[in-house]
This record gives sequence, C-alpha cells and structure tokens, in this order.
Amino acid sequence: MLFKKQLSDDWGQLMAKAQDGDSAAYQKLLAAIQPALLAFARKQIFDAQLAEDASQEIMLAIHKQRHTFDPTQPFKPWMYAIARHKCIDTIRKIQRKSDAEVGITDEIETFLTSSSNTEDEDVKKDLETALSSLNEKQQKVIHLMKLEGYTAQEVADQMDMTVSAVKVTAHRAIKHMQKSLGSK
Amino acid sequence: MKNDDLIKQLSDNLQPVKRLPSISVRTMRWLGFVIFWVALGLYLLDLRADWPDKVMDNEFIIESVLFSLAGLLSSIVAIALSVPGKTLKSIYGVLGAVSVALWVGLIIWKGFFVSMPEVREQLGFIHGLQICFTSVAGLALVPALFVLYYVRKAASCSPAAVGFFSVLAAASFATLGSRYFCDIDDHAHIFVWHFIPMMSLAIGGVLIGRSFLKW
Repeated sequence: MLFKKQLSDDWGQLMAKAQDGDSAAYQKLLAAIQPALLAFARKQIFDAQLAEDASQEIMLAIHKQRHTFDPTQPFKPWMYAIARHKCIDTIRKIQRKSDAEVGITDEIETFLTSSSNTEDEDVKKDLETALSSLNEKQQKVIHLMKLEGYTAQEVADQMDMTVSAVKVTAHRAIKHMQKSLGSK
Repeated sequence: MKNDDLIKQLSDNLQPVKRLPSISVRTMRWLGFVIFWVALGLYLLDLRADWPDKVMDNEFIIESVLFSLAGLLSSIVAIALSVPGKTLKSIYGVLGAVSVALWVGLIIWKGFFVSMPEVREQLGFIHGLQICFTSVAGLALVPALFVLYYVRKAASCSPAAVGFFSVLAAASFATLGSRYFCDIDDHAHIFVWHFIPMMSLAIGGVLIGRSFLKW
C-alpha cells in the first residue's frame, strides 16, 4: 500500500515537472504509466488492438489535459479518471460502428441460408470457402449468428463474450469474407 | 503508431503549461463575476421600492439565505467536478444533493399552496413573461455562459453533472437577484415566473453539458 502510494507520488512529482516543461521527466512518466494504461484498457476493451489504440488515446488525453493536474493531489485518481473516460468513449464508438453495420450483415445472410436467393452452386461454394478461411472464433460467431439465427446477446452468452466483442468479431469476419470473395 | 514513438513525440514537443488554479480560487473568481453581474442587473432594473422593509422580513431573509447557499454549493460542485478525478461519489455528491434539495424545498415551499387556477392565471399574466421571465433569464444566461466557458477550460469526466450544476448555480443567483427587483410576492407568481423557468434552465444544463463540455 505504501509502495503504491509512493509510486503515485513519484508519478505526481514527474507530472509536476512536466507541467513546467521538463521533457526528461515527462518521458520517464509516460514510459512508467504506459503499461498501467494498457492493462486498464485491456480490462475494459476485449479486443487487444482496440485496447492498444485506446491506451494511446488515453496518453494523448493526459497530454492535452496535463494542465488540470493538481500537484498537491494524488496522481493515480486523476490518471485513471481520464483513462476511464476515454475507454467509455472508445466502447461507445465501437458500439455505434457495430450497430451501423448490422444492415450489411443482413444482406450477406441471404447468401448463406437454405432459402437463398441464389441457386448458383459456385457462389455457394465460394461462400463456404470464404467461411473456412476465418479463424475458429469468427467461424463460430458467423455460424451461430448468420446460419443458426442467434442474436448477438445469445451468441455472447454461449461463447462467454461481451455483446460488443461478438459484433466486432462478426464485423471483422464479414470484412474478411468480403475481401476473400472480392478477389475471386 | 508505436507506444515508444508516441512517448518520444509527446516528450520532445513538450511545452510548459499554466496549471489550472485551485477549486477555491476558481470558485471565488466565478462568484465574484456572478455577484458583479447580478448587482449590475439590479442597478439597471431598479431595486423594488419596498426593499428596505423587505430585507428585514424573516421569510425574505430565509429565502435569500437558501438561494445563496444553493448557488454557492452548486458553484463548488460544478467547478470541482470539472477536473478529472473528482466525482459525485465524494463530498461533492453530498454538496450537490444539498443544493438540489434546497431548490426542491424552495419550490415546495412556494408552490405547495399554489392551485392550478392560480397557475393558469399567472400564465396569462403578460407582465410576468415580459418583465420577470426575461429579466431573470438575462440575469442567469450570462453567468451560465461564463461558468460553462470556465469549466470547459478544464476536463470534466461528468459533463452532464457539471452542466447541470453550472446552470443551477447561475439560476440560483439570478432567482435571488430577481426577488430584489420584482415586488410581486404572490407565491403563484414567484413559482411560475421565477422558480420554474430557472429550474427548467438548470435541467437544460444537462444537455448543454453533454455537448459543450466534451473533450
């Protein structure tokens, strides 16, 4: 507990120096807090790449808002408040993007059902090839959502994932399949 | 971009910054402005003729004290919450709850005995709209814009709450000031043309905060 408080105080001192323009102190601070920010982002955001992006967004926000840090107060609550705020923003962006792409997946669904509007066996074969090029998780999500007709929530419950993660996985799988089908 | 590259870029281009003043300093500055503005407004609008007697009236004194307290507490909460790390789950939540409770108490006090026919009568009272509503809105709007601009310089992680308490603070002082130029003490009038518009403005502060205080 004392060690953590000392660490926080050290970071606070480095930030105070950075506010006065000390580049070396600032570099030391950012290098020290970066792993903590990444770990925090990973707890909030399922996708590793998105979590990494979010951790960089947090660092940028800390940079822009460094004038709001009060050196007489602990550093960590200030830092994590910014981190939480930015992670919430990132999650909202992911959800908005996923919701906007539901329409695209609905169109593709018609190619994969038995009452498909195409009777072309070659196209069906291409779709199955594209599906098999996905990784195991993506295949399972696509299979459950688009072939079995489960909702994102039901898939999330079955696969022990968050709804956002399911939608992001489905989105990426469909992008991959579109690319694969487009090259033919 | 790799993390190391970002860290290098940020630290190489580091500029010194002017630290945000403390909560108490910023609150005093804001209070100084709002008192100045309301005083200016009262000077232009003219104090009510019976004000020497009114300020000795117990009910008037209690009302003034409660509005001042609501305004002060809301100011502190708005300015405190404008900085990351400060949340409503602390003393500021208590102060915020007290300021809202004061307003609710005042509305109940003035509105409890007001009947619907009286409200309808007031709504047809053009003087209320033309003079009281516009004057009170004028007293509140400039301080509200000032405090919103002021808290925007910080970085609130609770923009809706900051927006609400910022406008509530401005509305509290504006309503207090309005009691010094409007000589109509009828509860229905005060309720319809002083209290309700200001409370509505404060609730609108939630929407204003969400859009204006983003970062």
